[in-house]
Amino acid sequence: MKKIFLILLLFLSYSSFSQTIPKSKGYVSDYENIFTPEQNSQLTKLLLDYEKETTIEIAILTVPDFESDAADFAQKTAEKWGIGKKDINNGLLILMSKNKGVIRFQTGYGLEGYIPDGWLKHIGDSVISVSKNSYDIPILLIEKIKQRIGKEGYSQDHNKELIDKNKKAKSKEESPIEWMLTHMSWYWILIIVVLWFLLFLISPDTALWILFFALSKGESDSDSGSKGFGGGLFGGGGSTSSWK
Amino acid sequence: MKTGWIVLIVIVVLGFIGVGSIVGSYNGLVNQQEPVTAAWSQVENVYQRRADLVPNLVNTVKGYADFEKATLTAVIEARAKATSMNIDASKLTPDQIQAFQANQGGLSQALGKLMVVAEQYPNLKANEGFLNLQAQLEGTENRITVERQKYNLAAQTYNTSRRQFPTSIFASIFGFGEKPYFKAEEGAKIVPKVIF
Repeated sequence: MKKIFLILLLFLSYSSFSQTIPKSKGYVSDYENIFTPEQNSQLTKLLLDYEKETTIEIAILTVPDFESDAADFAQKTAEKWGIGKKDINNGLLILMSKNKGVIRFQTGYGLEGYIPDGWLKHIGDSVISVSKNSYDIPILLIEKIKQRIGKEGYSQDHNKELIDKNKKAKSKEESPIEWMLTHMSWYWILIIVVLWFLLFLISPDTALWILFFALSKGESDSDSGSKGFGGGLFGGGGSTSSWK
Repeated sequence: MKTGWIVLIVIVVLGFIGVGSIVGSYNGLVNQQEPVTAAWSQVENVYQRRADLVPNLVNTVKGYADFEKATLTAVIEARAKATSMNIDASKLTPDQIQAFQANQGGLSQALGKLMVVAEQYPNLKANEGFLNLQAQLEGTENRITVERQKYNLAAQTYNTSRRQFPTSIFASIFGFGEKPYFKAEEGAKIVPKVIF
């Protein structure tokens, strides 16, 4: 009960916190409408292929306006969406706002070592100085970022174990009894066993029915992550470039 | 005979629930404390990261011979002060966190002033190494903000469950104290103005 209350409290405070955070539409969330439908699907395919190849998740968000500063807005959005794989945190958010004249990179914990802030700032500035075109910019940026990450020797192999483990945990649905054995301490289990025995003395039918129910496995819900992102975390890293 | 057994079982169950709630409260607090400690070490990490950038920054700036000595000395001194504190995360007190914040705030101000002064040196501003350090420093300041928020959130979760019944009774018996918060610094975001 206490836990449920706490979770509810956390959820409430979180949702009131994040009123202004847009919903993810997948790898490309173009709220400013700066891409044509073809460009949008081309970018999506590019990022999807990259994820398949390396497990790195790069998301693009375009918005005409946002409250607070770009770093704060990008941080909250990236973490809410959970870009990047869980525990590996290999996500990157590219926030673009033509109206505000700003491009912001938000780097997940796991990519900070491969694409440091100083380098991102340099790349952001230099790409914008070469092209002002809304579509060329992300294409060029992604190209540079891919090159750099490849050169730094990023390999998904040393993360494979973690990814597989997370996948397994997701696909395997536990029965209530299994959940009890892994999540509860011995005294709670003992109490439940004694209570069940008590119930058995009073009404054997009900007790057996409950036992059957506890042993059966639930249907697994296939909804993993929000809009396909893995649940990566962000620590405020990244850089902001002026796009004017 | 049958009722006798049931009464006995009920007593045993109640006993277990009593012991269970004590042990459960204790373990719960221990579990809740861990994220706070972890969040605190992240806070220290990002502050350390900033402190590590300072020597590089000072060396880069030093190359510009006519750069104000006083500004550089202030940065070096503030860094020494900020890195001198040793804090045990599990015994964090409000006084400690305040002192920590004040020391780090001193370095923030000194660095802020350095950046303002640097604006006066076009050659320095064109230096690639300096630009890189500037971007890194900015990124680190953002990280500090984020990790402090995350710490406060973890501390809040812990404090909330610490105050709840029946945990509140056992918290004081077992010596689980409140976790202090970072307070928003007044004018922290305001860059000091230097008038020439």
